[in-house]
Amino acid sequence: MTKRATTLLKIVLAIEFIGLGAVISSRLLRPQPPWPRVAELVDTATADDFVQLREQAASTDQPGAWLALGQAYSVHGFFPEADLCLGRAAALDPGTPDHWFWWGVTLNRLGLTRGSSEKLQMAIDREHPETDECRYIIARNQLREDRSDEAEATLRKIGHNHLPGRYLLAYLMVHTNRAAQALPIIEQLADKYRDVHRLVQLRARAWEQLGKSKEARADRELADRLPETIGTDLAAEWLGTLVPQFGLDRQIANANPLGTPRGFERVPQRLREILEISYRPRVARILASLDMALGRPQAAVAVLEELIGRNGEKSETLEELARAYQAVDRPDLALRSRQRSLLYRVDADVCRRAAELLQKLDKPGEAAMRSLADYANGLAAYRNNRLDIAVSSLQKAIEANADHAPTWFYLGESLRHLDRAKEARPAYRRCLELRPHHGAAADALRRLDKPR
Amino acid sequence: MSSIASHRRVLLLGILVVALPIVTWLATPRLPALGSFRDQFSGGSIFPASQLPFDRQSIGTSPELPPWISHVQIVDLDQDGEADILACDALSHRLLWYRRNADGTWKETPLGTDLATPAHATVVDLDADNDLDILVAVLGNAFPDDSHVGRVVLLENNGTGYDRHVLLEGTRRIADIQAGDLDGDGDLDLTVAEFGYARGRVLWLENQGPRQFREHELLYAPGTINVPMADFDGDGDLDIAANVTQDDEELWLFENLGKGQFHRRLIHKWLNFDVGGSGMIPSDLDGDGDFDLLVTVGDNLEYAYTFPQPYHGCFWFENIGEWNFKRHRLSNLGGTHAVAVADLDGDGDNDLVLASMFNEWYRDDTASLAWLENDGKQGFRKWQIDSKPTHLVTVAVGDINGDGHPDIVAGGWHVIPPYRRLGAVTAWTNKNGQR
Repeated sequence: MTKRATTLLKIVLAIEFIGLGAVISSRLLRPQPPWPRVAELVDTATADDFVQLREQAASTDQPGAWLALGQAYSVHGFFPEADLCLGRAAALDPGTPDHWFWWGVTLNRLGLTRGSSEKLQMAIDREHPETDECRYIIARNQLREDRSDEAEATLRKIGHNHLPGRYLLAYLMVHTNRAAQALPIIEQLADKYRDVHRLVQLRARAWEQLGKSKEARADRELADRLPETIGTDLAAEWLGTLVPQFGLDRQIANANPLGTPRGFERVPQRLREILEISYRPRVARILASLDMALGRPQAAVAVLEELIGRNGEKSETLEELARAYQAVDRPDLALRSRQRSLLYRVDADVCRRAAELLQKLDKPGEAAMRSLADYANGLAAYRNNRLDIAVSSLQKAIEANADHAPTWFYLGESLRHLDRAKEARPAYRRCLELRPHHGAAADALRRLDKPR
Repeated sequence: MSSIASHRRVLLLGILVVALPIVTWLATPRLPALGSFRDQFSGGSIFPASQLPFDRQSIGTSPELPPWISHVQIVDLDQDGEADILACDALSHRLLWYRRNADGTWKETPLGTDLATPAHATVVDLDADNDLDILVAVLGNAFPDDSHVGRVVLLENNGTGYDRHVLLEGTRRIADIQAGDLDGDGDLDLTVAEFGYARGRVLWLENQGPRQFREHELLYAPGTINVPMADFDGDGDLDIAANVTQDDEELWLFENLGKGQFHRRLIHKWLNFDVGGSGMIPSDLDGDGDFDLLVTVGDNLEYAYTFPQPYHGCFWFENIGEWNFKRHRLSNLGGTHAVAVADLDGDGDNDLVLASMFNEWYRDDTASLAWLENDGKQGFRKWQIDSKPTHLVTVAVGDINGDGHPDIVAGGWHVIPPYRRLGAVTAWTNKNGQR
């Protein structure tokens, strides 16, 4: 009995030795997570995150841990290291489509287009929910390899509701001299997405190819006034979605929930800590606006002055600084800051506020500034194809200042596109009186005067 | 006795059978990872170290902040017989003029301020009064922006300083301006690259009198970065080239038909949406008497996540006559952003200097500046000059120290990490004579 038990136990022990030995050896032989040699170049918060994610991947060897580490590396541009991590995640759990998807996106950024397309196809085969996105990136990979025929075949598999995919298909057709075939696709899209300038721009190119110069011109002019676009860099957009998940960016994202009525006071302090770790202009601007909201304009002035010192003058920053100066009762500095903001961009609100300051400080130029505000308003409306609003704003601008040639030009343009040629002509003529060499006004007038 | 021993043995074995998995289960997570991955991919471009020696020198003060130099050129601006350096600083919105001191250091003088992100400066005697004026292409915003923030600014030399005039405003972002007599009337007209962002144009501005220019649209396309002029068909007048690099990646030529009329020709298009056209200059690279085009691709600025790509590099579009151009790939330098031509080694042929903005900058050894040695038959051997500073977007060649050898000046635009190995304006003096 004892002898039999001993034998049995020995057999069990032997089996255990073999099995557990295999477990231990596979455990010992698992790869060490890569570590970017210059990982310290990122801020310390992100570097700490890397350390934790790396330890997690090393200790658990779980696909999820490798995926997270790979994504964190990818987001910070450590693509070669991300490639290894995401490959490990896919090897450990090949059934999860996300592993293949993110690996494919990372290889796309590395320029390893064949590998990228293979991984994205694996994601498709495993029913990744973003099949069209995968196919789009595959098509872009194929274009990068000069395989436009294959890219077109891939794009044809994309669903008709995927705007970037359908746009790229039409684009390829136009740019391979098949404008007539592309036009129905463009028309269908332009019908559905009326404010997208890229579609109209592409249609103009197609008309040009078909020798229809009048239609091409009309579309070019329309494209100039349409505000929406099509995002075409989907690989980068997908990576962008990961940014708030890691390192300092996660801390920045987490600072927002602090902005509850009870936690509001803590946010600026947290943002200051974040700026100490790594200076980010975006964070500085949020901090300044919070300081203003919390009634600490002097602190906002300090933050914004430092921001300009570090990041150069920008129209938006100068306007924010002007508001802070105004709040600390320095209208003179506020006016100077606003006038500098207008050097970079003529914005209606900035003009209006500058006009108020001119009035307050009893300085000349208030009427001209208000006129400039109306011009900026009109131009913004024109660029968004809101032509009626453009006309009324520009006419208002002219009432205060009739000697600004661009106002007359855009008034002419707005009226012409509203088919009010009779009113457009004098506007162009006045523009040319003020600026005789204004080519666009002269061309528009010539076309209007040309017998149809 | 033996029975007790047997029982003990069974007990011991039993304990082992139970303990072994438990110990393994407890110990396994603590076991170190001793394995390693296959080789890690590296996509950066590295070339053999240049046998032609160069000495690196920072021009002006060392940058405290990541610099944004958008354009450099070597030019004798004050016409004193010595080469100066002119740089566009897009961070401080200034044009900087560097003159060489006797001790080899450089004196910095701001020429134009409040230039709202100057992209390019063209030095030319625009008003024919025998001094050099400066045309500045004002972007208005370094970042993607489709609004009307661009300007063509003239800094007119008045003998003691520069008077500022706006020649064209109310346009989208302006990336390049060039000057030449396009309509044969004896004055200088301009070509303008209205880069914009999603919308843009190629213009030529007809000189209609002092500081009066009438604009004419040549092409409606966003993203034009260069509009050089040259006589591409050898008929004695100036034609225009345009490098379009946004929605379309195309090279256009505008044949001058005289009297301000142009016939446009598409000479190349890339269907690769990502190719990233970054620069173009006309040059008679092969010395056969006609103008070829040198084109760089490697712009990754639209991506937040950049990496050098296998299709990046420098292309030579050889002019083979009748408006036909044959494409040759000369280099695969990752992130190539600018090219300049000079006989660097003094052997009588044209060599090339390439600057990279998007190599693999997390490595220390990847090339930011390289030169291509011409074997006389347009076969090129690649040499690495330097790996720092990184993020070079502009390069110029000229003899800055008067020793008869062409030197190199480049500018760094550090807008994307990593922010190390920074450099604003940097010169590499050619020590060919000391080889």
